[in-house]
Amino acid sequence: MTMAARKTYEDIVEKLHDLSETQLLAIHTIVVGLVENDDRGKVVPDSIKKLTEIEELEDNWNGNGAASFPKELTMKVRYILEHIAVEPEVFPTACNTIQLEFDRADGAHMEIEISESMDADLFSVSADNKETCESIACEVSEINKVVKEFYGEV
Amino acid sequence: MEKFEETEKLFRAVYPPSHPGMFWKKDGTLSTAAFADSKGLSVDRGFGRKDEDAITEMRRKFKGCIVSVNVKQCWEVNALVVYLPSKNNRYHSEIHGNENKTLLSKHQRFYLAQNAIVEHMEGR
Repeated sequence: MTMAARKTYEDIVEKLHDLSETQLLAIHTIVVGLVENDDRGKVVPDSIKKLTEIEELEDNWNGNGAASFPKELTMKVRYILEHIAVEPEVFPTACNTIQLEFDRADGAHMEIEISESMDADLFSVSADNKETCESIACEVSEINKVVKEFYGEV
Repeated sequence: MEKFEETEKLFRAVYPPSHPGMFWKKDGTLSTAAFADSKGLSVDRGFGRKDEDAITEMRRKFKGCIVSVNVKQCWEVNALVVYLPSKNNRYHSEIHGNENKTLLSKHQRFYLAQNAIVEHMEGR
């Protein structure tokens, strides 16, 4: 610490002695908040931004009585998105599920529909239009396995 | 019940109006998620109207983007088109997966999303 910085530090500490307990608590709350919310320089992925929009949808968001999305589901999807091998595009459905979509340059398509259940529905269409439908465990490891297979990394 | 013609268009408002881009992918195509509704996929049938008249009338009632598919495309994937007029909307119809299931299968959603025509884009 430089001499100037040390002087500033000592001045602040001296001034803190004059503050009441309430004032000190308020400063503590502000500092903790600044540290916890310090997102400067971080790039929020588009999939997470989209999920935030989905979280904000209210009941009847589709004009046909679709319910808003339960916190348990959006938290599960958020966790998956934070750990997924390839960033997908994210869409809500009026079946109270959230769909992750992957598209390859050759036209192949894969979607994983996530609900509150332990399983997720996988649907894929190959470049030569062969469709497959299956149920997979809704776990990051299993999802990353199929995503890597889709992109030919396995 | 009025019969549907193969070429008749079925217009669908893609919600929500607060987020007009919600169901569009980055490449400009429509997500299959726009065709997933466990309560039945609501559409307005053309019923002999000009496209622009049907769209204008829909826009009086609905906010959001409007896409269309035709009856033949629904039949090609064995989806059922059901005429369900309501007091407020004589054109109201629904596309169902089959006679026993309102929800479209993933195959049906994929086919219809691939063939959907964008008729009106809100705020884009």
